[in-house]
Amino acid sequence: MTKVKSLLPYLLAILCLAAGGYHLFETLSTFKLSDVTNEMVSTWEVHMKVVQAAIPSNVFVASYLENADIPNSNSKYDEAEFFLVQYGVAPVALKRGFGEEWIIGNFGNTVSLKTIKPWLDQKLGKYTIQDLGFGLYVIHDIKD
Amino acid sequence: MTVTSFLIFLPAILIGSLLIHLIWPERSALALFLKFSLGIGAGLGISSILFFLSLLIAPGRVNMMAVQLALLVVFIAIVILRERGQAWYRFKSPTLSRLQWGLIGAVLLALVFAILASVNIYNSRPQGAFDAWSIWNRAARFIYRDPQNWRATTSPDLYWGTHADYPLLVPLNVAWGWETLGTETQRVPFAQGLLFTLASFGVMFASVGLTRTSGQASLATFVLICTPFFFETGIGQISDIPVTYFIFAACALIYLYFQLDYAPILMIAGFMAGLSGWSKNEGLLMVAVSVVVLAVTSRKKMFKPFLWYLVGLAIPMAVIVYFKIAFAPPSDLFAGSSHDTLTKIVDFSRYWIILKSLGQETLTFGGWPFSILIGLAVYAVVMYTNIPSDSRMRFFVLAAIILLQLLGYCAIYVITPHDLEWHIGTSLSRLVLQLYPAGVFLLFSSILEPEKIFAQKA
Repeated sequence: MTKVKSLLPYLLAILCLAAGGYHLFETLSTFKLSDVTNEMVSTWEVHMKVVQAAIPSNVFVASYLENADIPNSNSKYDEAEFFLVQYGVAPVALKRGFGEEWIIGNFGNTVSLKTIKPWLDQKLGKYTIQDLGFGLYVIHDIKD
Repeated sequence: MTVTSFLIFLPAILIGSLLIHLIWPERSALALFLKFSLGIGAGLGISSILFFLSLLIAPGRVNMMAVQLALLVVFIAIVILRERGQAWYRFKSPTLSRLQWGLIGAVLLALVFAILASVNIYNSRPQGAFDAWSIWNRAARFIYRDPQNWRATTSPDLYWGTHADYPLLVPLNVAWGWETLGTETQRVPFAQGLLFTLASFGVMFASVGLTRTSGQASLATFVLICTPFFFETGIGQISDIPVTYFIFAACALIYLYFQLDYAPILMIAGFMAGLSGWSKNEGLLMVAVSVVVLAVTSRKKMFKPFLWYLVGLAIPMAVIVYFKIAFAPPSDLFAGSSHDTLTKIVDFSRYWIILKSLGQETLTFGGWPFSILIGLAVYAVVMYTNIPSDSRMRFFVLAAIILLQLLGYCAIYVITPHDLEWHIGTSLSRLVLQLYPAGVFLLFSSILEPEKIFAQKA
């Protein structure tokens, strides 16, 4: 037993070093040398700067619409994209659905403005819409 | 930018270290190292509280660097005044055996591996983990981008998933860091995360070194450094490592108090426990649990030391209570009706799901190629030694805190209004992580150290 006891600290140390080295090797295999262009959040950040610039600085709360909100859409609500937009437009708080004067539409590239216009016309009445690319829109609900 | 992102935290770290030194003037090499490691967390806690208070008094842009430098000058002056004529000449660097040097060298090698791995992870994921940008850096942006209207970060208009009720230690430090550098760089939250991670290693090494030996301290630190999940979480720019660090620091200090019988140590422990609640809501459970355990213990000749603990808790708790009452929206965890909660409490299938998940976590925790928790249990059985009667109290106090904290987490799972399996799947590994360093510390402070084994062999 004394022999086992005397070997065990070494074994633990060797296992730890091996695990640490293995982990380093694993991360090295995914190393991209500061190339973050394909990283999801950084990609969104580029587009969110445009959205942020389109919203007046005195707006604290905005509505958020996405594909799943479009009537008869088969899309499912994408929570991750909601968080990405919320992160990008901070300090504006986002609320799902209509209701606020300023609305951010995140409809993706598969939905055209022509498709959503009748729905927006019905819901909002008078409004302006800016197409910011990447399926992103900033809508200003002009209340009479 | 990377170096300056670390340097901006230096005044805070020095303030924290000097404050701890004023409370606990021990001058051995290990104690000084422990105080510096504790100073990292204490300093970052102080800087966030200072920034919070300044936003309360005068919302808007604040030069936090100037505030901290002024405070640092005051602390340096106080320490110099107090240290005059102290017996620093007695300070000696520790004498280490070849075994101890070997283990320390191996720990440093593992640390190099871990830091290189962390840089790689940061390069491929500069925005951090999901929670980093959806919760913590989101909050930091609200504060930094519009400090006059910083309260918007706790707005009830925010979606519950952004957790506007979460405490602000981490986001506040990130926000003033950006303010100091004049840019919203991800290197600031990365630097803060890495500092908390490295400080955890420092607390582990120094505290086990003080309670046992350098060899034992090296082994305990080894285990922590080489746990991939610990490092990955640390650089993920989320608050789980800060809360882990503060829980661990409080536990280690409580243990040290019982060993050294120096009551002011408990004041630092209380401060650390309070800062755990200022980092993340789980820290509030730590505050409750530690107060209950120490209150029960205080019936046995430690009422006054218990008061020291409460004094340490006072400032962070005052900030947390004010934040929760005045700003934070209600937590999503307590959104269910009392009827729903009662139904869940008597639903025994929920307990089974929780137990099963804990069992699975035991096998897979930490990202090791094998079960580190079972490995450590085997190690503890082989290296078991009778705990001397004078050490039993501290062992049981710490074991009780860790166990009650774990039970508290399980109780939250029982009553959670969210889908239980989803909730467990997204959080259990991080909750176990929060208790992992304290558990590793307790284990290595209680079992046979390598130096004794080799002495017996000789």
